[in-house]
Amino acid sequence: MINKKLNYRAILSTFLGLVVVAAEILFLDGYLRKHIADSPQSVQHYTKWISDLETEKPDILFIGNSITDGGLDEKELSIKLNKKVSKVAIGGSHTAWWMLYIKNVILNSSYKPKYLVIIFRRNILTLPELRVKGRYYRNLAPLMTDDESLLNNLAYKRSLSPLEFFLYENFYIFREREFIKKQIEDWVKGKISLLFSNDKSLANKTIKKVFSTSHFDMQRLRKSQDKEEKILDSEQYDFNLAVESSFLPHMIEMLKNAGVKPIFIASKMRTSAKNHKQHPNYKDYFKDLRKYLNNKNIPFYILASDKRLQENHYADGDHFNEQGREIFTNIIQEKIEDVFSKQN
Amino acid sequence: MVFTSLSFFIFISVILILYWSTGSRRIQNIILLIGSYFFYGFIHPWFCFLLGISTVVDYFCGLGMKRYPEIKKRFLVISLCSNLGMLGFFKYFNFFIENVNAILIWIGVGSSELALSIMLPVGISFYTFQTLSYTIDIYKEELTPTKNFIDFALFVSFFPQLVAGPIERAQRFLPQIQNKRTWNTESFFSAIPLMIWGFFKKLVIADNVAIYANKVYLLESPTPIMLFAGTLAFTLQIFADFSAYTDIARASARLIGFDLIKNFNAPYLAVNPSDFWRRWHISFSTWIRDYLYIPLGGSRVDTHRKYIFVVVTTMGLSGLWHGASWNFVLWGFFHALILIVYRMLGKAGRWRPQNILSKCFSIAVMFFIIVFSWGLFRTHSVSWYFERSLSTPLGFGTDSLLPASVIVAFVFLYSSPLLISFKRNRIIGKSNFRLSVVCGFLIFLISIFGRDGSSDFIYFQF
Repeated sequence: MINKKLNYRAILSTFLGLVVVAAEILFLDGYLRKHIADSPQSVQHYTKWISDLETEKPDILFIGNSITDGGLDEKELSIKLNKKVSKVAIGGSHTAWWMLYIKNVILNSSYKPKYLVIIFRRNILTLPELRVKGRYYRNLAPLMTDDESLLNNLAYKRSLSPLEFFLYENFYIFREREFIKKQIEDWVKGKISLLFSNDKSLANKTIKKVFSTSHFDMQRLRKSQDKEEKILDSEQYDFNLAVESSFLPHMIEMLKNAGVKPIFIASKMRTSAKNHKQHPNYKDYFKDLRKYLNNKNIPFYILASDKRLQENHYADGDHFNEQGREIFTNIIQEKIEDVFSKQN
Repeated sequence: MVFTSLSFFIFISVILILYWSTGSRRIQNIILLIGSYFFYGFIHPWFCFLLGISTVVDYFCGLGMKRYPEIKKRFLVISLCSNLGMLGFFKYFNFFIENVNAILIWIGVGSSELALSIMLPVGISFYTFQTLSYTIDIYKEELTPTKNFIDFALFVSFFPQLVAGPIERAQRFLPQIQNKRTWNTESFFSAIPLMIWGFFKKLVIADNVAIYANKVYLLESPTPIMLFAGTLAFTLQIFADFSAYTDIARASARLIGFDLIKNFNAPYLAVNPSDFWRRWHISFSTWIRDYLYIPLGGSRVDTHRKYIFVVVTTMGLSGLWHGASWNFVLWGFFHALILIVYRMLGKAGRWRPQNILSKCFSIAVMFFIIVFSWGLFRTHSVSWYFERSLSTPLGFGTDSLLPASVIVAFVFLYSSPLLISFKRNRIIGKSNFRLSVVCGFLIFLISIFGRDGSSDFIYFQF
């Protein structure tokens, strides 16, 4: 039996309540849009990257994330290769960032490097939606132009529900929420810092020091990173299925049109150094990736089986320590020289 | 299928449309049964097979006990063995083998390579207890078994509470399945604020404080003060996470005209250990009380020694129910210890605070005891936990006190909505306008502060 009596007053007051909230959100959105837009960005604007590229004029440009940033000594490499080597390595960046860099920096620059070396891990080349939301959005935003349909279609629309995508596209608050949250957290930390000293940033500095990976129990850290990697592992490890809906073909096409030769290097993870079991499709994935790149005459190197990188060369699950950095740089040098020799 | 996923919203929308489009109780139950199996199979299809076995065994055991009362004990044993056997195998087999190996190595015999890669069926601990309550109540002649298989199967598999409770009793829940459900606008719409509140607790409170707890528990050598701060964060996390699940489960059930038991009653305002267990995971603690504690003798045993045995057994098994790991067992033993101490010091469990000051004092003392106990629950190693808790220096230096203060500050910040919620009747009253403003504001806060990549509910692992 259905109770057909409707409480019109309840419906009206509910509707009014929601209208009030929506109005407040729109007002706040406009207010924050005006104020946040002027706040310091996490990375420089793409026009600055263009300017840097045109100034430095590297022969070989490395692109990657914190693994490359901490693991590659580009100055040492420059000396050993006798070439101008630069690197653009933003922590947490993955293919979305690298694609934007190629599209909005390299293609728009009057100077094009001869080689672009992309250092990546696992199957992230075919995971376009990885690290594009939350705090990673702030890394991407300065590289974006007004038209980023490729990014939206391959990354955001795939990782956001239609409602989330609508909110993302139309509400500044939603896009910048990690930044807003961080501002509030920094405000709280600043207040607490003042209880200890005059330095408002003391809390942030102390937290960074205390919670650095060197203070973590490596085994537990590995387990928690393994848990995250299982999340990665449950993603697409079927290369042929994933490649066409990834940024990879677009990146290769753009570089080809710009006359830049790409080189891909798959870095070695600590799990490989410890001979941990990888995802069951790991070997097939890389076999298919190699075939794909070979068909396009693109050099590709996999460091997973390189025995020179041992477990004690890692600071944590992904990043090299000082010793590892030296060995990694030497290995990269070797691979680049191999590319040169094959081309001669 | 996780409550916080888009697929769940689509699922429940479809269920609601189909469910309320028919007035037939029988068809409604069939829709819910199919929906529940779809919900459970979404996680992993073969889980449905296990659920089905449990359902069939207990259905026939229940009928068997009624038809052949002279051998009802045998049916009870079949039910207990099959349900606890499945639970034991899937949850505790590898734990058992690990401990046997450890003993074998200790005595120098070597070890067995028997460990299996066993996938733990989500929710098995919950639905096992739920079906056992059915057969045990029939055995005790407190319940008449149902002949309707669909009704019983729905009782076992009811999707809102299948994966992480609350554990419903057949006496309370089966009549709701067997009776006609009528549309009630007020009840239906009261579910929405409850669901929003549940999502807020999970996505904003639990998932954000989890970051602090996880970071502290990753440290190799946290100071006692740092460890306390991390454990305080976990204390808030586990309550917000688990109570959020219950709220969403209750709200989902209310949308289809069912009333699920409340699982929490301000547990951190408990004044003594017994009070805590009347407020925390109520459906589980009452199950343990009725089917384990009281049958073993309960508080009516005539000697202290017997009482200690009863409490230690009950709480140890309660701990073990949570997971195949010694830290859960020791967490249970710790609660046994405080219950025993309370009984001995607290007028055989009859002590109550006499005035507001003693009430505040007892709440504070109980709270710190509970926080300490959650550390046992959270830790990867009990010896590490004790070693770090008792280590020196305590951590009054800036490097420890400052981050700990930050964590404590965020715990207070994130717990403030919970504190405010105590006054919700005063804030909202009977005003739909105010209710919708508050709900709209909560949704707004969820969209801003809800973490990307929300984690699973903690109690899913049990």
